[in-house]
Amino acid sequence: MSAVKPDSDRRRKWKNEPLVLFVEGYSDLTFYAELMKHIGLHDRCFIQDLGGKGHELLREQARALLTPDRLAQICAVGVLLDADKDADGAFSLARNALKGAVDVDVPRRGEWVRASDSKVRYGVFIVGDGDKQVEVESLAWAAWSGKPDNAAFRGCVEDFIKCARKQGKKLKSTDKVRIGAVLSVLNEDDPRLGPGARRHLFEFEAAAFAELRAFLKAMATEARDGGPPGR
Amino acid sequence: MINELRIQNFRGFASLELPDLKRVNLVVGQNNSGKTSLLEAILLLCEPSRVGELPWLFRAQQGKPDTWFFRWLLRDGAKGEEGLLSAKAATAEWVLRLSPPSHQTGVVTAEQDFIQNPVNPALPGAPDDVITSRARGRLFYRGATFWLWGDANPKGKCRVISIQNRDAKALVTLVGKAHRKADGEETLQRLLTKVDPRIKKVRVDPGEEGKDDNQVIVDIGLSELVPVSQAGQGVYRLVSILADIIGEKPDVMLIDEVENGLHHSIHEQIWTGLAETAEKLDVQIFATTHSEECLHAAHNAFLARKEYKEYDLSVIQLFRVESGVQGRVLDRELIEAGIGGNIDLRGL
Repeated sequence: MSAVKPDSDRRRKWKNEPLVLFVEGYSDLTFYAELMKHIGLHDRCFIQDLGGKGHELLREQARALLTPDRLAQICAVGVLLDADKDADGAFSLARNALKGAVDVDVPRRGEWVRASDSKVRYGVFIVGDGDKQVEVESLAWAAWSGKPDNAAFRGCVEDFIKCARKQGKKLKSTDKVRIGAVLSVLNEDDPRLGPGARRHLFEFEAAAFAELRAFLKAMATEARDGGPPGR
Repeated sequence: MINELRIQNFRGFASLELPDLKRVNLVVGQNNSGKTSLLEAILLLCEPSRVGELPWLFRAQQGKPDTWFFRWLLRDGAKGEEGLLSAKAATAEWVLRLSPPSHQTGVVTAEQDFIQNPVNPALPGAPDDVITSRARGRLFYRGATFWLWGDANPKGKCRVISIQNRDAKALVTLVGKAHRKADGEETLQRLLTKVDPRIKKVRVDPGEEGKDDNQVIVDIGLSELVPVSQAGQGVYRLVSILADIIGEKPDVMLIDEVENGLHHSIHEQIWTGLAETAEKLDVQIFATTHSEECLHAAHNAFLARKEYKEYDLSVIQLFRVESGVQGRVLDRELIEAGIGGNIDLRGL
């Protein structure tokens, strides 16, 4: 590894926030930050991005961040990973990483469990299920394309996808390309997911976000109430 | 070289285990998290008979060491259980125990022995009830509130650089010693120039005959050499650290707040020089820092040492939590994860 310098885009550091989220990359961070604003938890939440290497870095970054003195001030730690065609694999990875970093077992995804020797609760949410290519862009696409007002433009985007495929272009992630196309038109200056969310292009109350919203709300509600874990 | 440390009931530490220590060990943590206490423990382990110096070595000078200083060597003011300091080196394990006065089992005979044959009844500046004895190779240090016992023989030479600057006389002695070592003058010069290219020469000026005014002078490109104290606090500290390592060639160097007076832009060069010198002279360094830049610079300096196979740096994190001070040793993987993730490794 070459000499390390912190990415200037990721300057924010943990400052006594009681809620901590680990997300895959900076793009996810900006998007989830908007979602947390939407549900009123942004001020209490610190989001740590894993530099686009969520699968490799989660354990070590969790070890580095979740020190005993910080954990004494933290109520809940959540991990949000994309399924990426293997939801079970993504969950196992997050589960093992938390086990290795803080010795806590999170047996099921989407649920919060309390560490046996502290007040801190841990949860893992995998975006998507089964073996389809699903990521946070899939939720954003579902939310955006499901809105009747966007039906016509949706047709344009689907035509674009069909056309690209006809040209022999292989798409690794169709939803990512769809959202990219939408954002490149609707938020031309900064066609990234987070800035798009900041401009309210995605309806966070849409059904596509329901499970994720519930997971994140539960993180805080139970942290405040000290109630039992659950969704 | 110390590979592992174990500390129990010493100062703020209830129980601390630090495995996998390296050639250079950076100690980080908030104020009052035990960084200086850790250095004190290492000093005691290396040179137990220097226990009487502890009040002055790292902490602000407060005249006579009162019994309050020693009282708080044992955790919870000696109300608690026996304390333990132990270090594992490559071929040996060193153990020192600290007992509250009520724990006299196994000590009484020796106590009578040293009371009858006090070797050093009055350490400089020590109160009257402080007595040391090296009878039979064991050391007992009797403050009003604790016993220190174990093998009093030095296990390794330990040098201390505190946050206070050395006085000018001490610096003259150190630089003189460094210059008398084979290659010492050249090494000191080369390292200093690497860190600050302005420094072209370091000398001990004997001063005028009959006057006790010798001093360390440096050539920084002015019309004449200037006293090192005039070249800035950073240069003074740098000369002090490097001359100490080269001149004294200790086994263990303890540096409190290593970044003190040094601009962040030269941290990496300093660590490059320290790493090289420590390895060459077989010195182990424990240095505390409050500076994130200093920590990153040390990491980068060790990464850049491509001619060495081993990444010989660890970071010792100390945390103050409800139950006392806890700590852990970060290896390369964890240091990289922290720095790469922009996570503050210094603690809260």
